[in-house]
Amino acid sequence: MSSALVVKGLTRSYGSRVVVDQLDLRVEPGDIYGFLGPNGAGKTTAMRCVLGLIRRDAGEVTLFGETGPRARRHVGAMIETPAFHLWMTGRQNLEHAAAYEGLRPKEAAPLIDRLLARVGLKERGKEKVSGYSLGMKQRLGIARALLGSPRLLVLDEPTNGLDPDGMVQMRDLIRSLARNDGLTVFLSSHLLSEVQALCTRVGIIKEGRMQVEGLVSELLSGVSAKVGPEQLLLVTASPEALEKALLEGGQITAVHAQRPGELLVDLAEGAHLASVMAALGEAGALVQSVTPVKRDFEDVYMEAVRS
Amino acid sequence: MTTLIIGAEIRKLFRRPITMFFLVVLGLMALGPAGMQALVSGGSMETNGNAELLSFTAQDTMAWTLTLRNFLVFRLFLITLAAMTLAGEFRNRTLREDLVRPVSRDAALWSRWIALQAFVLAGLVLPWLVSLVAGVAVHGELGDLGAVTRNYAATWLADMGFSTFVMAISLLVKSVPGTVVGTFMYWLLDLVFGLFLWGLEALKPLVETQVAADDPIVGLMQTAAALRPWLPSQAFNFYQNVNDAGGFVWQSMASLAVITVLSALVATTTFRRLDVP
Repeated sequence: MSSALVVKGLTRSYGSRVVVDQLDLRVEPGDIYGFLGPNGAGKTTAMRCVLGLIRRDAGEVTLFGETGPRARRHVGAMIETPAFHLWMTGRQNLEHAAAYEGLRPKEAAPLIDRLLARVGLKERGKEKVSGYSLGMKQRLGIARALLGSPRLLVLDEPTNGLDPDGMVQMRDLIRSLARNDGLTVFLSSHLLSEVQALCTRVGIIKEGRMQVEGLVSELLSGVSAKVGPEQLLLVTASPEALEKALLEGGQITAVHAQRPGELLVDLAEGAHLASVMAALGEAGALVQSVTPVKRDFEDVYMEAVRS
Repeated sequence: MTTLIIGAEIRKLFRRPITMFFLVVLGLMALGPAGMQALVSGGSMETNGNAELLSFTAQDTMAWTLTLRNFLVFRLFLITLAAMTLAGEFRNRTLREDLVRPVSRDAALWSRWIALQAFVLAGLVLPWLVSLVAGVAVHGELGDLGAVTRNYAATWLADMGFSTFVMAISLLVKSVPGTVVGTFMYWLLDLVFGLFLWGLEALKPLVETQVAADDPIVGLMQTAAALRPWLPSQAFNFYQNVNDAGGFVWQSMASLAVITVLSALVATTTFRRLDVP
């Protein structure tokens, strides 16, 4: 089966500034692919190149094995805050987009009904979009992206500007589209927690180049080895005694300053929670609590963008 | 698929409140000449010492309406709508929403152009019809409908060229105010240049009495006179040169065709290469 999206050697410059530089990425069918990078990394330009909105200086974009405008029939897209013709109703906006998908009004009508219901706008479809809230516009944007029954959904900052409730709704909708409808999703976001919660694969770019690409689970499991030792957070009434006992016992390599009574320690090679507890017991050091510090996606991201 | 897009663009354009406003204004404007003619009808006007009784037919009402329509009113509407359709949609990003779909840029551009032509046609048929009805109601006589309808048809061709021209400007400047200002700047330049050529032409008899017939300045003035019908303003107003027998100034017609084709080429090339944010 063809990959949903293959980008090879994508390059785009604005004057002398190279915004996207020989970018390669691959999204497989079924992926929820998170596309990350700091501001100005070239995410938006790359996404627009993929959608044919911005010309590329070099490189190739393949959608389900096809190239050119017709290949976009496999794609539904929502770029940042979706734009609508405000003087038209939500339904009329969808009818307009349906024509661009090649759907005749009779074919489009039941599909539009279904999609409006799917995004929770069934009752508001006949109202002018000028009266919609941002969250409603985002949901209408998703409905519009789904009009052509796409296989790949491209979403640029889909939760941008939404309140927490709207963000949760949008996230649930994306998850449901991927799980229940079998859509492949390619999304960019600034919210790492969102990417970690939603995505199966990620690509992190910096200065237009891919830094890290892989399965979220693999990247997270590789964190310890990549960004440093495992850590424990200890709470104690006698931090000095505890630090001395652990250092002398060879269980830790470093202690990081925390709030009074708290120690964040880097475990030495081969040390683990049980061996630390044993060492503390031998030294007679009193400890109120021990919490293993779990690294998250932020560490993966920071390592990639700082490298 | 292109038919569907054309239909969608026409519906979109006619759903714009401003489009409906423009059409209402055109309809009301078309009532004006009949009213004015009713006021002066039956009076007399002195021309070269001869008193002439003023009487009108529906043909006159329609001709006055066309002149009124073409005196900036409709062109201003057309500039505004053409600018909103391209530069406006580029700015408010609705153009992007169409271009992420599986359509060629040419289809997206030319379906918008066709929608504009639907407005042009509505903007002609409406005054034609309203002034015809008003003219017949007020004057009771039709006159030569064919002759005045030829002027309307010539206006349609000119508006088609003008809208293509504005579309090209709109894509080059990518801003609604920029398009309006840009088009008026062109209009001003054209006017000044046209006046300059007209001045040269007017001075020709005087100059001919002062210099020899084969003097280069006479040749220059003849060239200036020959250039005038080719000016864009003459092309866009070439309906004025269509006489009752259907004859017209071919240079203005040819100029209109050249401007339309060139504008279409500029618009197509610019739109194909346009980076849409």
